[in-house]
Amino acid sequence: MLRVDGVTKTFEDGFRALKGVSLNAGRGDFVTLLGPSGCGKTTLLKVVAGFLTPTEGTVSIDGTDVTREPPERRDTAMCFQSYALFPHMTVAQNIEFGPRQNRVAKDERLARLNALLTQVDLEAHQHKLPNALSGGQQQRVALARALAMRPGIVLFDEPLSNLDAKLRDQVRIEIRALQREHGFTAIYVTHDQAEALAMSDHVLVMREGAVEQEGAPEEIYTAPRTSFVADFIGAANLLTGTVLGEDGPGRWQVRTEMGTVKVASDEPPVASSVHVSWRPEDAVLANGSANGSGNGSGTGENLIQAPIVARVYQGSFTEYVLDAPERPAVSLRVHATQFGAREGETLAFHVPPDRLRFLEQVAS
Amino acid sequence: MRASVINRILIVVLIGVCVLWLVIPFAMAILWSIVDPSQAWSYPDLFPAKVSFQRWIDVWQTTALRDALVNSYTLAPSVAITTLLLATPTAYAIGRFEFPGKTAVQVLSLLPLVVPGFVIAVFMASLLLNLGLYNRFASIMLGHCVLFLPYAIRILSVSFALVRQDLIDAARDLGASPWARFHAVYWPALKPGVLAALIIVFIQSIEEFALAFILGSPDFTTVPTILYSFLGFNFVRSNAAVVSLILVVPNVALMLVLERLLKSANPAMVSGKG
Amino acid sequence: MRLRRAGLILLLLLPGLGLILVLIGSVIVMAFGQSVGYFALTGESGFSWEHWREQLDGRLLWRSFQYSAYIATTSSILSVLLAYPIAMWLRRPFRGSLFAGALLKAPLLVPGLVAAFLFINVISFHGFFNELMVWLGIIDRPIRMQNDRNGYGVIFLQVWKNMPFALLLLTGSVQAISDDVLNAARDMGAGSIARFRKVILPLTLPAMQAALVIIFIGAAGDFSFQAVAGPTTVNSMAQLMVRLKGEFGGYHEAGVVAVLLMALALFGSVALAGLTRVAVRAGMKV
Repeated sequence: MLRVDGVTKTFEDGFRALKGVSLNAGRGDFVTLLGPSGCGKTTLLKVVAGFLTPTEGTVSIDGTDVTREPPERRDTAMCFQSYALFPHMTVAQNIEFGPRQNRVAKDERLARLNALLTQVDLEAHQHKLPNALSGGQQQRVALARALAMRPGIVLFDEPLSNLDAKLRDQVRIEIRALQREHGFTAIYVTHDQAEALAMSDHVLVMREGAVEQEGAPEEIYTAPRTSFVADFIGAANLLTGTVLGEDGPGRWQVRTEMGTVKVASDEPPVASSVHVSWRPEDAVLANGSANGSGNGSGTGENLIQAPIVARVYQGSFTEYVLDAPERPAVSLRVHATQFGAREGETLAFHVPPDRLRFLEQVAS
Repeated sequence: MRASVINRILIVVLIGVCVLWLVIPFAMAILWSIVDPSQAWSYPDLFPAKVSFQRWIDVWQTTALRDALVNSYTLAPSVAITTLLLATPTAYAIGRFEFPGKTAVQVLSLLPLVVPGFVIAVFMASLLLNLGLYNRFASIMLGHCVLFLPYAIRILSVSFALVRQDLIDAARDLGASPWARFHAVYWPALKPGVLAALIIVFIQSIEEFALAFILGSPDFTTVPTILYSFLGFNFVRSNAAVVSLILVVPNVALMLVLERLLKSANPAMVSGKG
Repeated sequence: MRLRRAGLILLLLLPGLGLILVLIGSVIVMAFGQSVGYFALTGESGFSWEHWREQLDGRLLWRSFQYSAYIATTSSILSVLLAYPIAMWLRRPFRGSLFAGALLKAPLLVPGLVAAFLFINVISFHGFFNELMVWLGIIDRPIRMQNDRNGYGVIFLQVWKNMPFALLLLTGSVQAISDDVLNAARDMGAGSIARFRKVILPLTLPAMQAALVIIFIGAAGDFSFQAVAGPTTVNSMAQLMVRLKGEFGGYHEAGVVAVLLMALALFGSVALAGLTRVAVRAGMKV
């Protein structure tokens, strides 16, 4: 469906926004470009839409090379972060704009308009101007306007960033429902990792104009390959480790700031000095740890005992900030669901070896 | 790449057009003002045969230019300061209060710009005659104040709207006296607007022709009315060139100052949005 | 409390808006009043249609009215037509765009009379333009361009002076349209002409109307350009008014012209703005 091959974009001022990015999306896929601001994700979206021409590389849709086609001749529709609704046109005129430009017959045009107005629940507002609508309603008009063109690919540029948290969840569900119904391919740009994990079939984590890692959301979350990805997606404890030696097949002894631990990994570490990460919620509280039961039974390897520096109640869990035993300057974070320890006490917990992950080499 | 090439070509075209419609006219005015009276500049000479500042000296010595300059440059600052004082309360009301009819007030304050200048001039003259008022300087000053109030009100109301309420509240909260509040909160926001209003009204007053011509005639001359007299029946090209330059140069200098002021000020001021 | 607030606001409006209303109001009352015989400086003062009848019967007034209407309409439309493409060009900043903008806006700094002088200097019988044409061999002998019968000189001056003003208003308005909105239109299949017609024109309509109205009013009431560069066979309304007042102290006659000039400025500019709106709306539909 959509194929982006080795796209590089260098702006006139010499800034390289994209450095050989490739991307594949099948029909009906929901692909998310995730990354901090300035990582090139919006530039990539604009290259796909046709607002920018890549310096190198190609973009093809349904097997046709469209790299030099203008946006008005591509089978894409964009949902802008600012919504970009025409302020001088009513909701209905906004939605009809695309079909009118493409000379869709009147019956068909009205049928699409009415169907979309129902789907996004705006029948009552169709004769209002965009400024008279709330942010969530404007967002839905923008969505309906994009869909009215019956595009094969819908491009979303951080569409939820101007909405409050509650509305965001609601529109997120609506977008997925519309996508399933219309069967379009979605390319979705966001810097919100939770949004990316919740919505996508496939995630590309971008950094400084290149794809850092891609895969299904679960894969990206559970098996990050670099400290950037581990840190950017969810919370992570990042350590530097020195590999001491092998400890049986697929197991290594590694010396880290929180002590010497065993790491179980399908792949060997890339170097003897390597970054290691684990998720705060993967800690299993040890039995007999100060007054309380932890996340699980907690008999196992990699027992760590560390002083509690801070305790942050988060509702569904409590976060403990600990000093790493071997190097107190490094903080560790542990999420526990039921536990009543206080600052100053010591927390004992296990980190199962298969939850520790080798990342990239430590830069010397 | 392509766009930048087109832009470069367009800029060259533009510079060509501007040479035609700015540089050549001004160059000719400058040349005409320095033609030496002893040798005429006529076809087919490309440049005057002999140049000197004799024309400037002649105009200064033989015409009423000196009076006109004194009149214009006493009138303009008086008008600028008076207009500023008259405009401030109205601008304060528009910039800092919400009240019914505010839009109407803003529209009505544009009235002097909508009525043709010569209608104002002729019937203000007749009004003053009917009232028996004959002071020319005062009449023109009053007329100019009213004519340029719209500019001052508009600029200052934008400035007043830019004064941040949270800063006023903070200053009060910290126990600032009214004077201290004005100094710390109001003045920094108002200063560029006040200077802009002064300069714009000053320039407008120097340039204004209709009122100065009708209310001032026959004996009260300003720089534009003396220029008009040189353009009329007794057309003296060199004199007109001298006076034209005298009229334009301070304008340009003042506008450059204004540009500087606005650039260092709030960007909202420059775009005139408020 | 509310009464006190209202009182305060009224008090604040008094020196600025109050003065404007009193003076401009009395000027308008004077013009109307004198046109129907009141406020006579000499002789009988009282209601009479005499001055209207006398002026409307003469051909001078109608010629002036038509001439001023023609100059105002042509100048305002030409200024806006010229300013639009330049405003579009300057929409996005590029190398040299600030310089280009400054060059284009320079005539705003030149007083009207100076502009008129510079212009006649260039086009006069032995002026630069004639000599250039002779030198280039396009014409054999200088041609007379000053004070041409059709008022082209005046229109040129009006456009020279007012195009920068239209440009100022339009650039601001065009720049206020976000790239996203234009990109959205593009994304939905609108080419550059459709984008201009359906998005840019309607969104810049208020600025265009403002430019048209202000230029129209200014050109309708023009005196100096007409006096220096205009045809000698016809007077502009302002010129006629000054002449009637000046030569004969005829404030009553001048009042008639003033009322008609104000009517021309008001209705002419409103009509122009209205027609523009209709045209832009129609352009959106097509």
